[in-house]
Amino acid sequence: MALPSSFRDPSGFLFRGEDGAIYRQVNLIYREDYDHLMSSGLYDSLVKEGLLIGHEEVDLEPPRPEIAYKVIKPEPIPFISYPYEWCFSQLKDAALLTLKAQRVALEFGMSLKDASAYNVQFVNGRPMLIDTLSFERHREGRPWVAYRQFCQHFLAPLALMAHRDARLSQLLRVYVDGVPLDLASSLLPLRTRLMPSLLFHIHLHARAQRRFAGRAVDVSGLRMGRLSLLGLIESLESAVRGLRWKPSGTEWAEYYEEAALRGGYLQHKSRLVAEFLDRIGPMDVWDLGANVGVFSRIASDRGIPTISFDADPAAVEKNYLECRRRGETRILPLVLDLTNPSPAIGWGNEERASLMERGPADAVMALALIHHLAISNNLPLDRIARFFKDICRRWLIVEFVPKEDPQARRLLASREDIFPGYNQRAFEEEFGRYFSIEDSSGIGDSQRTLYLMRRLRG
Amino acid sequence: MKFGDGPRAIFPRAYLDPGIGSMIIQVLIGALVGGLIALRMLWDRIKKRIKDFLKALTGPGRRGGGGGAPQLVP
Repeated sequence: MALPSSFRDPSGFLFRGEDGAIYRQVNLIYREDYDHLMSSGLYDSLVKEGLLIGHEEVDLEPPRPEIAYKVIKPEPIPFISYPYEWCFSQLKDAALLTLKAQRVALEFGMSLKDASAYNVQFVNGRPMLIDTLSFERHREGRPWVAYRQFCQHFLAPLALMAHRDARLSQLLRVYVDGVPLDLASSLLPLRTRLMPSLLFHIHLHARAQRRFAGRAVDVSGLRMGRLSLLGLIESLESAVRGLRWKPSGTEWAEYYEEAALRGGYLQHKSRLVAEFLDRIGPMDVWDLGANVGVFSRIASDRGIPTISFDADPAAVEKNYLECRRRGETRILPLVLDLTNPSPAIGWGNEERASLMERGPADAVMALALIHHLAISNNLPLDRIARFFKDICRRWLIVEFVPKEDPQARRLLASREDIFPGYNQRAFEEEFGRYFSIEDSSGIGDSQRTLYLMRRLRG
Repeated sequence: MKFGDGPRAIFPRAYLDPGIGSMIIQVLIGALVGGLIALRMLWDRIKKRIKDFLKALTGPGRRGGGGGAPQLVP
């Protein structure tokens, strides 16, 4: 049975084997392209350069033998993330990867037949193409069939993030096949019409789409030589490289500087988190509300695969740039608003999995988070506890911040205190329904407490 | 190659709709940028030949008196 996300391309599909691993059936219709991919040297070149996920051919009964050519087993991907969960530089790196793969493919007489951002995943800190069947033999003279998709999936959202607002990446959550170019064109500021790359690839492109939509046009003689095709790729590369976004003005930007002043608070908390992690040795960690990932790195530096979530695109951008700078392979920063986590989207609400479907994590960290959920978002403690029960397989490292804490007081400064039930006793009681408290400690001179909890069975 | 049947003739097995507008605009951009690349390549070749010419004029063969006339075509 094909995975719900794998149905558009008739070349093949992904399925889950009886051993639980993911396999890909390559269909007969893709036979010649597959053979060319493997024998031309393109596959070896792409895998060697870290552009494409590797695979091995396996002797396994295909789910649909009547149309099957081969079954392959791609290298497993530990966590599937989606473009609307990426920060600006992650989407930009994924775009440049796609263009580089297209350039390499052309050298070997092949071309990308799609340019979907969903074909890219972050593996060991780097973006990689995961769809082995995306390459087809190129016939000289053909334009790039995936040009429209590239502009919708990459260029338009990147341009909107760079020139309008970084939060517009969330449009990808609404438009599953990328941002419509007419929408991007109308949202982009006027000055982008003076930028040749955006003028052509977005504004005039959108106009051309509108002009020829639904019309039977004779395009006889329309031909695109190799030099033109390479020119198009070069132009897209230069357009993507020219888009820049500098994170600033984040509400968390000065958080650590301020926190550092609070009587050894950060140092003590770091020590406690490290101790707890060493004691439990989790398989993987989700750090929720991770900011720029200071505490996530305590886990990832121990070799634990760690997803570092935060709702603030600026914090995630800084986190990702730090990953890139340090060449980190165990941490994946992602944009996620916990009060409205990624839902299941696409056809039948099945194509892209919700956050909950991609869990649970072996260990979850929620540091200086609960008071935001309870006070800023009016979430009752029992619901918060239930949420953590659902996303946590075994361990929870959670910090309780009382109302008397300066940060919590700040949250209450401009609103009525309608939270009489928010206190440490109630917190322990509600979380105690689903977790046992294994350890707890005050943090530095603060009134905060860090807990190590173990999820109860059942 | 015949393109009379529209995108289907160009991409007989494509599973994505390339979009006629998208095809036309990319061919236009490709022609413009491809043209610029061709001009750049031509200019690089001209520069190289001028450099070779000047080198031949002032090269050791010249100083020895037996270099002969510089060649424009390599």
